[in-house]
Amino acid sequence: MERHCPEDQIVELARGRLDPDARRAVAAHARECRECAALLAGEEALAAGLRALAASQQAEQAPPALEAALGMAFRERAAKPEPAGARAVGRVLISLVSWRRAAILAAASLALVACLLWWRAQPAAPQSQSVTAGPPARPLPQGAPQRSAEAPPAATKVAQARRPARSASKRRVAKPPAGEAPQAGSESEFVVLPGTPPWALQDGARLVRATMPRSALVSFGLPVNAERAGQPIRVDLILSEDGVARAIRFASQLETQERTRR
Amino acid sequence: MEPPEQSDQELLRLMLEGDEAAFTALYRRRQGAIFRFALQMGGLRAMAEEVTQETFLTLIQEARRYDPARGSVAAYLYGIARNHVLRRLDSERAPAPLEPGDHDQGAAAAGLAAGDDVLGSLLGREQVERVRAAVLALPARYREVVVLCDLHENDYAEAARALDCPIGTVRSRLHRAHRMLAGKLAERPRAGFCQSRSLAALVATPQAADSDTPVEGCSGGL
Repeated sequence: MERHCPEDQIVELARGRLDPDARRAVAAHARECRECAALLAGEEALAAGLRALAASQQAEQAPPALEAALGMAFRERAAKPEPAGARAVGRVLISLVSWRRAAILAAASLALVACLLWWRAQPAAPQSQSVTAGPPARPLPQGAPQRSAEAPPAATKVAQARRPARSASKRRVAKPPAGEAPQAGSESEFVVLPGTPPWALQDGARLVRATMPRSALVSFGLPVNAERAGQPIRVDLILSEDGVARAIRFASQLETQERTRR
Repeated sequence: MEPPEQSDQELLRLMLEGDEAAFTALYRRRQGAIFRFALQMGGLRAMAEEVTQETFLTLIQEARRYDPARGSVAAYLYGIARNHVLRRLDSERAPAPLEPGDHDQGAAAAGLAAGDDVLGSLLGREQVERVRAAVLALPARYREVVVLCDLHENDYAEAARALDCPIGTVRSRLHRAHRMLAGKLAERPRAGFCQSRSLAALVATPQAADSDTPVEGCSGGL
């Protein structure tokens, strides 16, 4: 019966953190087991890469001016009683913090207030009119979809994200019509996008509903009818924990299910 | 005057008594690690400078809150820096920058020459860049364990104190992070970014050091 080395021991061996007895045992096993040898070689390559990265940044330091500024803050703090000292440190902090950052914050606040005032002044828009609400949560492939105002509430999204993540992990192949992304009303399952590793659709995956031009489907490796490339399409994307789109389905099916549920 | 061979805790005690030299010594000893931690977590030099500044300002203000029973001064500083980094990452929601870093190539070469094996010697600047980008692309809770345990070579206990979580959590996150990194590095490199033999290739098609010897079944494993 085959028994492989525990993966954590292989990781520890590659990192040089395994005690001598376990190291000998794992190394001896890896010499005879192709699978464990491959895993060990991969971990050793990764450990070498991480060591090289650490070495490349070993000389990084804070700028010398910071020491002087902190020394001044320390003197002010030490020279005054506690509450006043705290205020003094606060003053130094403010003087140290980049004015550019403060200006950006102020400008952003003004813009937000202006947007709120403008929004309140607008008559109620019909609900079907989709309005993009900010940038996508994390970087997505080119032609990145924008979050739609029609996306479900966050709590619903979290609940939904777990289920499709599991079903998608079975790597079911979707049924988009050949040569064309599905039209409204057609059925669609999640399509796992090329290059998606198995871990990406497990814990931490989340669902984002988006509206995008059909032409953007090309970036997911899906066929697009050139005549309809400019038309919008609603999709659900499963984003892995690192924010990369890993699976896609066309929202029409979900809408039908939701209508049925209601 | 920098006190010779004084522990971090001793420097902190003197600092609390108003000894600026002790603060300066502690700062000089720890600022590099804190700066690199912030740089490796956020990828931006400006952010790393601000986090370093805020970390030591917090130390000036709240040094009395340090409890030796809960870990080393270094872990305490990492913990403060981590809070500042996460706050910035949360508020700015900035995607990890993937532009090439400006690290010292000489240092990288020195690191590779220092006793690394054949696999390590194949890693050049491009591979280091790919590893850097892969680390930056990890979710923050995995990135921080890679930075603390792999890049800063802290043991699990020290990392657990800095992250204020159990040791088992650090270990499991690190292993998960390694799987994620291996997956990211095995992905095909972008055209024009990495043309030579890459870590991805090494990860995707690893060779055992003694691959010429016949490989038998796994009977009698561990």
